[in-house]
Amino acid sequence: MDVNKLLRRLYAVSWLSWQELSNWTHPLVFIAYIIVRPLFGILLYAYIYVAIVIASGKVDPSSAFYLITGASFYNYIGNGLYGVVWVIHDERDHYRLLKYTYISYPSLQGYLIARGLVYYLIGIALSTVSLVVGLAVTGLGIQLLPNIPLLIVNLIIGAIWCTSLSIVVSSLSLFSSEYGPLIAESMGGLLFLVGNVIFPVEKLPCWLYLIAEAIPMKEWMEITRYSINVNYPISNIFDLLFSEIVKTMVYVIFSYVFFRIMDKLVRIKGNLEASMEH
Amino acid sequence: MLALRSRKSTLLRTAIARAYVRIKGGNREPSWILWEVILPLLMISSVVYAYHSLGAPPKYIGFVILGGAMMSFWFNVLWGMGTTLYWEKETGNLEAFMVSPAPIEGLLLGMALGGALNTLTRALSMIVMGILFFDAKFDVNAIPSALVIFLLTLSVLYTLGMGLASLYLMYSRSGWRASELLQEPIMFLSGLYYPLNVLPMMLQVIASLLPLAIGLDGIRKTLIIGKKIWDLGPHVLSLITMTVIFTLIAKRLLKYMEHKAKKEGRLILRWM
Repeated sequence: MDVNKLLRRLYAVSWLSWQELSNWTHPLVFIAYIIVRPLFGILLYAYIYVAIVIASGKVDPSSAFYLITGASFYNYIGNGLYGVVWVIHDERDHYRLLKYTYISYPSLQGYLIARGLVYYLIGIALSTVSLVVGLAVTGLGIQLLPNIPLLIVNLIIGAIWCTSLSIVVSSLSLFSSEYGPLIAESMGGLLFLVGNVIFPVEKLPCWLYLIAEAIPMKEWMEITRYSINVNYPISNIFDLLFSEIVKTMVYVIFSYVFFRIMDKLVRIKGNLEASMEH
Repeated sequence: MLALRSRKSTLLRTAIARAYVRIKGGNREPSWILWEVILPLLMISSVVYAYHSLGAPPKYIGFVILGGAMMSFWFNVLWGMGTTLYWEKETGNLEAFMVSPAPIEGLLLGMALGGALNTLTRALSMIVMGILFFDAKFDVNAIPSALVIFLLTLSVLYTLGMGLASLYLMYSRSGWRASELLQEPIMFLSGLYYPLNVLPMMLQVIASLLPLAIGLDGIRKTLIIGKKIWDLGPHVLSLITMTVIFTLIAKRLLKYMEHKAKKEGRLILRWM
């Protein structure tokens, strides 16, 4: 494997992602643009907590911490998912480039992974800004004791399983121009619902809890909370980490095999370039 | 006189034709409707579960369900109205519209009527699901009052959508991004998941300038608190005033942007 070649490709595709994302305006406007949405998003969730405090008259810092960290770090996963999954729809229906990408880049799967990288980096920045703002709005005066190496490791693992999941979703989206965007949006919503984001998944009905168990998001979110503040109570960090890594490995293998099968099938069926107008 | 009547008739016929396409197109695939109901329900369910886990009063569940239902109209205004002309340009239909005798106002009116009707079915399904799955409670006697506020809110929102459409016609991809930017801030300021009185006074003042915030607040006050329409005079007055102002602005803006786009050759400029 030629690592230099691989890195050059990665750089070129990441650069393309960045340009597609940002070249419609000035850099400062772009920064404001990417910050505004998560900023108001976190305010939306922070005021859920404020509404409860006003209604009950009780302050509950642990609930506020849970809500704010979940909503903040969802930006990382949500952004990464969007970055990978939306490519198929954008390139096929909007820019009409998918066929050119398909024949010019050695592997569509590799291309999708590379397209998502910039989104994860932006996701980290957005999560950080959201966390700071969210903690300030909820008036959370707790001293955070972060475990930075664990946070970094968890972010990397998160990017791996999220990209694998996104590859699976993208491969489904290859078949349908009509349903592709809906599948992508639904996956984001599903992760928000079953990922320990703004409430503990134990509150879910049994059948939804099973879905939560099948996705590493639940563990990822808990480890993220713990790595931000080691005083956050969790059962056993090693068990959680082990469970997350095992699930991630399953997702990586499954996504690779699944994408190859779908890729073959989609070409046989001739759906690769079937856009909305067909 | 005859010319005016003929112009009005063309406008109406265009609106009906465009509304037909939108209604037919939006409902030709039943599975889409299912997706469009389930998708926002995923987020709404998350917030309902969060409220449950935080021990919120039961009326908050109703707040969330109504917020989600009304928000679908706002999304329709942004993506179904605002970005319409941009999408027509991207798909190559805009030039056909421009050379036909159909007025753009008629097209947008049709979009508004068709879009509102399509969204109504989704919003109602959301409310029904909220009642069935989350036991959301609403005052049935307040439905007529809520209906008045609802219709007034729609008229403001869709006239605002017409104004946005003209902006996006001109600014294309930047306009698309503007639509994205108008999601979360409006959701936050309109009190999507909570009553407006939890916001600081300054933000409540800003919210009082947003038609969605006023409409949503009015509908919640009727269906959840049980107020009657005569208790909501300021809401009604604000919504009527906004409808008149936004209609005038949208009309002028549309003419101006169309002229400017033609002058700068942007009508058929794609992917920019």
